[in-house]
Amino acid sequence: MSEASFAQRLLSLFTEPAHAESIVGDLTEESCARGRSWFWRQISSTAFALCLKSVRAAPRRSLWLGGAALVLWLGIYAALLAITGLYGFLRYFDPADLDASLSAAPLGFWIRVVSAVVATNFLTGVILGRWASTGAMNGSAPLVVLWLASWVAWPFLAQLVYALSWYWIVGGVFAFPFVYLVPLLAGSAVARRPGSGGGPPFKSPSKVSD
Amino acid sequence: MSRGQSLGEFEQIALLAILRLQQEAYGVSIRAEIARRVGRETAPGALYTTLERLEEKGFVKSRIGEPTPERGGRAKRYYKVTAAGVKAVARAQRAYRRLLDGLEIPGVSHV
Repeated sequence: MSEASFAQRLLSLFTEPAHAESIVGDLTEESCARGRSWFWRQISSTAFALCLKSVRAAPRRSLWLGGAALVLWLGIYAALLAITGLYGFLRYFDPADLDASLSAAPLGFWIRVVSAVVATNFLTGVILGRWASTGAMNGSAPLVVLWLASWVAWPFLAQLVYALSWYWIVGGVFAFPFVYLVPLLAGSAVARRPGSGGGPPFKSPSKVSD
Repeated sequence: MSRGQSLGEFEQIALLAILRLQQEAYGVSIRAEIARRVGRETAPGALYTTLERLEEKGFVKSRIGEPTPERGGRAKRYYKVTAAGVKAVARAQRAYRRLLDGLEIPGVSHV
């Protein structure tokens, strides 16, 4: 899959596929003069702006869907922890001295915890993209906004509440998009794959030539 | 007039840029026209969400044009201001003029 096709797939999560195609076409046209990093910055900010627009357009539904998504996420996560036997490892989350307890955790613990979080986000994305999407909003949009807000707030809370060392905070900030946002969006994209029956029933305008 | 039918500043700018460009109004040309006339570099995300909102309000309509090689074979989406859009922008401009009427603001001339 080319970069532009990938970008189109990402934007299609938050707007009509035909609209995503024309936006990526516009940005591809301009990126010849402005470069690849400009292209990806604009794709990211446009995806965020479209996601936020859909959430703001229906605040009550977004609030309800965000709450339901969080409950769903916690349910799936709890189930995965139970299935993988990770509950025994929760002793490494000692709130009294989180810094020391996390440092004592073995590599296997981190691999299993991260895998569980990635799987939880992916499954949540699939479920929300498949069953909670409408013509105006992708079902994952409120959770995407919530995760982005958490991404910004998390370092401050971690420092304030747990006095975590800087390396945990920096590591968390770098890992967060790959552990939370990417799997959630990937799950949502899979749910909306043509032929999967998922996603909003978008209407695409017919193409006309000038 | 309901809030949904009123126009924000950037919505007016976008509508006026589309009116100026006539048949050639698509994302890249609208951004270029705004930069040229207003001296403001607009973020693509801000423009596309505004265009979507204007279309939802019925102030613009769009059609898919021809795909071109420099766009990776992707089609352009051309915008056109509807009669309701023209009315809305005229109403907003009249309101500005009424507010300006009798005011002396350095650098602003109006007739």
